[in-house]
Amino acid sequence: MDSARLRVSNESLSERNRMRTTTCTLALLTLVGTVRAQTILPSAASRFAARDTGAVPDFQKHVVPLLGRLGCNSAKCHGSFQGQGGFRLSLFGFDFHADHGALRSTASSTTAPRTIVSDPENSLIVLKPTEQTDHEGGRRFAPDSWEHHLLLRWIESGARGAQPSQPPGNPRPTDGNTFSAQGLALFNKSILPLFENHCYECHGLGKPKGKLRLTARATLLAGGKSGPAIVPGKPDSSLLITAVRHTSDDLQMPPSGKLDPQKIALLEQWVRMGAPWPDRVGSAAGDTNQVLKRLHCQPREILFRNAGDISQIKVIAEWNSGEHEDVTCLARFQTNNDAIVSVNRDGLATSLAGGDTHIVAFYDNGVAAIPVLRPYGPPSANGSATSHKPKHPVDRYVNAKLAKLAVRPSGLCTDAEFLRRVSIDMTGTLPTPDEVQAFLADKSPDKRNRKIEELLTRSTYAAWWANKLCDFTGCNPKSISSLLEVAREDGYVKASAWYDWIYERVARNESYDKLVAGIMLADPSGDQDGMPYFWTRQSLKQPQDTAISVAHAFLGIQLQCAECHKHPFDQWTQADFQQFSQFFSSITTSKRRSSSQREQVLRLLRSQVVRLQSGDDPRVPIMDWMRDPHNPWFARAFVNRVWAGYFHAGIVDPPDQFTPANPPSNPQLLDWLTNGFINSGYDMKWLHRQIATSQTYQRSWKPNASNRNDRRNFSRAIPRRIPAEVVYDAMKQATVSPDKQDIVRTNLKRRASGHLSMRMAGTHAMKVFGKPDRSINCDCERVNEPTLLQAIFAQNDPLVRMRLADSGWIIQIAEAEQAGKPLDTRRLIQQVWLRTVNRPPTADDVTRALAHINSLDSIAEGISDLMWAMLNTKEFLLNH
Amino acid sequence: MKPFTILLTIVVAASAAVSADDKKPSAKRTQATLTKDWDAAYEQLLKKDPEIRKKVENGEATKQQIIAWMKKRNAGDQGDEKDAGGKADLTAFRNKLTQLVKSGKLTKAEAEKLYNTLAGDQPKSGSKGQSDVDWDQAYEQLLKTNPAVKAKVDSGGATKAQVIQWLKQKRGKAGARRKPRGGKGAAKNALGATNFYAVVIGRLKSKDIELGEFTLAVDHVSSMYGNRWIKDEIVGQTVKVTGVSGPFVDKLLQIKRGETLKVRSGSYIAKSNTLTFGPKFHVLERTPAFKPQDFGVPPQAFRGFHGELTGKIVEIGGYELLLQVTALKTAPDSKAADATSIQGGRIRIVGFYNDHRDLFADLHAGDVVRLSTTHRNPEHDELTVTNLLQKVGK
Repeated sequence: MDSARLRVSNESLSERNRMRTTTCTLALLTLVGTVRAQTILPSAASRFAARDTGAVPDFQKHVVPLLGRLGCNSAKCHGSFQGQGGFRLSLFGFDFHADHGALRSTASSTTAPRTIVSDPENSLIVLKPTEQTDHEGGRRFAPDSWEHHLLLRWIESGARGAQPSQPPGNPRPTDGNTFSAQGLALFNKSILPLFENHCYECHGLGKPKGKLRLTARATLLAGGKSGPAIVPGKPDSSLLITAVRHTSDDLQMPPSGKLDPQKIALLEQWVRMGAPWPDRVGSAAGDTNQVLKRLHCQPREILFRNAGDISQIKVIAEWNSGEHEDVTCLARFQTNNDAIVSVNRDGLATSLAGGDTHIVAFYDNGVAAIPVLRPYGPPSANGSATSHKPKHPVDRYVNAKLAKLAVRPSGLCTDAEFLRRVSIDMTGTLPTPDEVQAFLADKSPDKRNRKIEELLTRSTYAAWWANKLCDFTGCNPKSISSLLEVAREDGYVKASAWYDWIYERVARNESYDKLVAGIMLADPSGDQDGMPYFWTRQSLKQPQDTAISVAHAFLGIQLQCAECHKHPFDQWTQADFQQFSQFFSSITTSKRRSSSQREQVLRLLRSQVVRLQSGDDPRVPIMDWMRDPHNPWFARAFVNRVWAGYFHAGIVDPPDQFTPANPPSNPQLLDWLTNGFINSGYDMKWLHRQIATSQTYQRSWKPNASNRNDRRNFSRAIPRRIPAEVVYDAMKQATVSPDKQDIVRTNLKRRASGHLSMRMAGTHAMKVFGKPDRSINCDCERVNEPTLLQAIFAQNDPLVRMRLADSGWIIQIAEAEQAGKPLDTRRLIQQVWLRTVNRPPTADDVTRALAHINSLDSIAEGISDLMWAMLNTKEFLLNH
Repeated sequence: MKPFTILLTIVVAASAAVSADDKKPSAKRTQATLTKDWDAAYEQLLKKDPEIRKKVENGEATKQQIIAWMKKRNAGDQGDEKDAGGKADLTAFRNKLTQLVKSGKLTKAEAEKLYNTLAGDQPKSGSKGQSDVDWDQAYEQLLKTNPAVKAKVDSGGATKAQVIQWLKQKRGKAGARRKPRGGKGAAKNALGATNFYAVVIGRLKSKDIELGEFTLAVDHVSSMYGNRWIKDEIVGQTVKVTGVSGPFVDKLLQIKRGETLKVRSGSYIAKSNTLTFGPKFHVLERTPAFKPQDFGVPPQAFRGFHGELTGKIVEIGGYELLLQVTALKTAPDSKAADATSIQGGRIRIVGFYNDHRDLFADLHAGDVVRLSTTHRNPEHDELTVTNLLQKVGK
């Protein structure tokens, strides 16, 4: 490799040295923090470079990650539900027991097991990927490579699987049973490996044959198509024993051949002892006696200077045992923006363009994101973000990031732009012509802050944010009604009650946690002052649906991937998902009560173990956990969504994808806002105020040379299409007669951001402008992108034509004209601009408008034309 | 030839066909009741009653309103017979609901509520209500067993309808009268709404898309499930329709005032003269101006038909279809005075449940079908499919 090109920055971009620009050659990677003091095991690539190494690979730490890195357990190969060639691995690899069973089982193409301990070189799992025998997936590694050696060493050292987390001799009761240490030891030492080697291929997780799973004691007791597999204490009555004895012609297991007599004897002994099994937490698919504590990446942050700069990433795994190991060669890497940086499979990052993004490393259950940053240009002393220290904390954090990127933020927007922008973002409503003129005439320096305070007291503020909260929580009239209720409008009555319930609380600025508690802990019978319809939705058919909905609505996380497999970009496993779902079992199925039917021990998204007594409301511990200031998502998700409401992009973006693989663009900013929000007592107005009063929010949309390409660091306002509801309400407000301005702006029953958000969901207008139906758990349901259909809609949709034809204001003008009353055409033209784009027209605008009106027979007709033209401008349809 | 003239010709021809015995005054009244030409009756009324003529000329009343009033008065004279076909439909609907419950798409409670919605005031199975009685059969039985009654009928001293009315009164007073507004047996919800699952055709008078409401001058009602008396209440009247939402708001937006539309209703609130938008098989669309023959209202001479029809499907949905008849075969027991009067015309056929469900689901507008049908209640505008349904072309 050309050493001249091998220039990288190994700087850690801490506050202390963030402006240093030194680049150096890649020679040493300094280990920092806790990792420095530890002994780090060398990478597997070096330890298994030689065939005759004495090192023994670990199934969880080495074999499964290697298979993941090689792509073996991806969805298109052996991670698919069928499993290519009949060889099925768990998708993204976190079901160690099933994977081990699959690796140790017999391949469908041969009579030999996939792994032959006595003859590792001829094991299929090394012959196939080295293409020594036909392999549809091609060659995955070369013969005699470290990967080859690693797998050979694993096989010849016994091809052992992962051990369950529950150590022998420390038994915990399961299902009311207490097992002896001896029995559990027998299970861990002999029975589980036997199941893994001979049974899990067909009776593990996934779609078990004969509907029989052998992955938990309960599933054996439940049995499959033929009945219970075991009768504890009675081997002769147990189908499992009958099957392995091959005494019945109809039931002989394993199908590949009878087990050794010793193994059969062990199984008989195990059943006779009562079929001891460690508790189900310990024996869950992903639970082993080795838990990855965290991943450390070096460097912790990458600062590039020039295109072509490279940086080698090193990943250190820290295990709960205290062991540290260099797992770079076993990790998978991806870039979050391949226009800015690329990364190869060995973790070598290459700068492509200016900007900032992350490289994400995956290993075992760990996900680590490494910030990558390359300034857009040389740092500028003049006008740089660092030239003065802003007073507003938001601006300080934003400008600090901009300084790293050598981005000069745009200047402040005009007063007219500010008024229109803040009115739309904060209240979903255009300012009135009078309001615009009064604001522009006001010369006081604090008028923007005063306007923000005023807007926060308006009913339109509560209406707009109630509408957004209805989006997040899924207030869909068709979902909360039965077939019959839709007919009688009960769905709309309930949805409107849901909206009104939130509206009232936003209007009186009830704390966000209290508002959420009113939903989370609502009595489904509606007897208390809560909002029960969140729980009684028809769309929540299974507890899993409810779990996904709660996680999305209040935590901003997407759990659905983990319903079927290990989450590819997060820590969530199927076990995590299933445990969380069980909290909602009662309320989802009954839709009348939320109470635990029995004593349960459930894990709450890896945060804590919750013990529920019979009759406990399982939602209470979840709400308590969410309210905990240390909850990593609850407050943060709301702060981020509010931020996204003002900037069209979240600090974490998409705003409902809080995963380690999708880190915030400005973590310090998000932390500050979140802490402030919590410390304010979850005061929603505090949050709005902090954001709207910042210079960051009030920046112009006009880019400069340095921030033209920046769309994620808030260096300028990004023009965005106004939301569907605002389009509808704004068109109506723009055409209404002056005396109806107030009622049009405040009558919730007739506002798209009010009750119409329910009734008009699914209409052409709302669909074209991307209003969400609130039928899926994704913020992406709202689409704010401009489309061709929107332009067509604005030009000739019946709704637009109706607005113009029925315009009270234009009718008034026509009537005055017919009555021979004098009309001030210039003033009318000004009104058109003030009503639509909320600024006075320029002299050019007036001249062109006058020319058009004078060419017609009627002023009313001319004003109608002008109004149509202005409703079709980008300036009207965009918030800028 | 104008439709009115055709209708008049049919009436005259039918009148000429009746026997001399039938021309006795009471028999004439019966015939007039069965084969009423409302246009002719309307013209007659205008000639006879200058007060009414004046009202019409001043615009205080429309022709439709007058006809509706006459129909109402006429219905009051005749009493009301329960819809035997409707009962069969309800049984099929219950079967459908049972399937939905089994498949988990509805809860048992929801199915029960839905059934009650559509059943309206139908008594529950097992009860011995008026609707359980086959009055035609009871009438025939009475004639066989009671020579006095037979003699009275034969001599024109009583009509079949009068006899049935008497039978009803004898069995129980509740069923003998037209269902009063909100009277005994009328299924009402908390808002005072009576279930009225029907397709209402009329002209748009006003609309409010934001509230999902519009008003409609009702010209015709078809596809009713129970509570047929509401039809007489609303035809010729202006009613409000509420509960329009989602994509149907778009449809409403595109229909102009004065244009004719059809809408499926779910219930009727007599107090406010309001219909609610239907819960299922949603219908809200612009349609040509109402002409009875275009909407499948059978010609008078065709009423009572029993036999086979072949024709092209004009529209289909909600367990029923509108057929453009190209050929027909009359059964020996058909009561239609002139079955061929439907040739080339349109007729609405209902009841495609159970055995017909699968084939019906595959049918589309434009398909040519052959089916057997019967007009169980000649006063109703729909025929009921019986055992034959065949797709014979496209």
